[in-house]
Amino acid sequence: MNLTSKSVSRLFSSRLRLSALRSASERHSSSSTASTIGISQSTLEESKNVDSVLSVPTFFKRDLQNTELFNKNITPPREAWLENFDSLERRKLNVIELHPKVFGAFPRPDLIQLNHWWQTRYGQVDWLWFRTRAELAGSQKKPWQQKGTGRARHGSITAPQWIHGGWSHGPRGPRSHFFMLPFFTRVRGLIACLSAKFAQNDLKIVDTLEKFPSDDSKFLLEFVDKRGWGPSVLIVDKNDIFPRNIALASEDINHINLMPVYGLNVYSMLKHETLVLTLAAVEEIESKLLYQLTRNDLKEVINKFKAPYIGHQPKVF
Amino acid sequence: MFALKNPFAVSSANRTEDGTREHVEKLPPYPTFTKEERRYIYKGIIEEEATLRDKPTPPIEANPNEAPFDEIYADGPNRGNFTEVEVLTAKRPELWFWVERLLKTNISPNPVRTDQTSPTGYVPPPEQPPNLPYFVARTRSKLLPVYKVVQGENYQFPDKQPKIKRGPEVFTQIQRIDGDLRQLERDLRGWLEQKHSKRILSAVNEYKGTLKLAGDFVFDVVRWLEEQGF
Repeated sequence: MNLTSKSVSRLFSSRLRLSALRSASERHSSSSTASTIGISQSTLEESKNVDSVLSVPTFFKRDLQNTELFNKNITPPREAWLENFDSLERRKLNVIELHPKVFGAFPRPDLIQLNHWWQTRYGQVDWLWFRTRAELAGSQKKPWQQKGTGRARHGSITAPQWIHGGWSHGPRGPRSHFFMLPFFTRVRGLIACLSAKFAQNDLKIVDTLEKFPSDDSKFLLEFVDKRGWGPSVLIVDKNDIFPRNIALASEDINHINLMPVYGLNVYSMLKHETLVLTLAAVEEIESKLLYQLTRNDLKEVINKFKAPYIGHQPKVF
Repeated sequence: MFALKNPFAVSSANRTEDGTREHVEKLPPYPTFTKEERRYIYKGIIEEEATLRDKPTPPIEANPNEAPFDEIYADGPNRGNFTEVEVLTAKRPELWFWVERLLKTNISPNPVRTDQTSPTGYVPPPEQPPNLPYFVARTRSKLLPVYKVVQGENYQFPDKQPKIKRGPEVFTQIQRIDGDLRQLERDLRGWLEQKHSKRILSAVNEYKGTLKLAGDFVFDVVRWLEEQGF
């Protein structure tokens, strides 16, 4: 068998590497999760004995913040699977609780739409510019004499009542559409969008991105396909420096994107079908949004995130 | 008729008190230079400015390996020029509490319920929510979210109220409701109607989780919610 470098790499990527990585992932799946998530060793030993895929995993208890905001009997904490990110095979590591005021709120479509409208609108610049009679090229001469011709009196052929004349009060120059939505409309829009994603089963939670086994984009596509995730995936982590493998694998795929928590927005969540959050990202998002829901200095916040007044801009048409 | 202004009259602006004309000095004519002269002046001015501007400032000689600058290193000599710092939080972390209570916070703390009643009549939120099919959460400032809504009130121009008024003008709105809104409406409205012995209109907004009552019942509603245990 004549092995070229290409065929070797293909073979390696498809079979050998996968099997090797699978065994490797199985080997350190037990120790790895403990360090990152903070599960006690006793729970891990219990979960090691039973089959990892079909068994009911041990319940991972998170201490939810701001429990005074909801009643557990009416709006119970939402529960989600914690999945692995280190192999093709899907393993449910745990069940985690999510705050009902962040992930289980009423999915207000009006707030989502407002946020989407703002995000698409505020960067637009209207470049439309019509020439006035002063800016038109052509003769400034009186077209015919005032009296004696029997025709209407006119002073210039560039006057606005003339065809091909100048425009009076037309659109003038670059006009900014920049504005800001109210701060708490944006906060509630994020909450509404996260809740909608969770209700549609489009929100997946994984332990870490550190142990993603390959830097091959084909492997990532296969991975996403096997998990049953939507073709477009947005992967969100707490830090903005991502691990090498996942960064390289997703580099050439336009519909699989990485984003840190501070960049999470409504438009991107709508753009991608599946939203994948790491556990660290979930905790960061929850704590940040709950802080916004409970903070007391509204006046300062509202004034701080207002758009500056840049003068009156007349409406075009 | 009307008096015309004399165009030949001399204005008194340039005249002194004696009536004599003020002597106005004529400015000398603007100097004219040839092209070469102008170029020379221009160049000379620029060069002069450049020499002034680009004159290098003498560098401050600060060698960190020599005195007195060698004190900046941790293992350098200590001549007592710097204030000494002792990190206590590593040894005694419980001391940080005393700093933390002086810092400004954005989040108001959860007040604890006691047997004593406050002079304002404020009731702190409960530790456990009541066993009811609905729940009313407290606001950011730990108050009950009951508001008086006045329709058609012009705050900017209070004198310019609308002449024709349709329907009720004052409402009571309860916000931040979870769970069975209809049950809350039935319970609350029944209690209020019995108390005031009149019919009260109400509307439920499940989309926002709010309940609106026609009429000003803010204090009644707050008292009722406190009795329920919210």
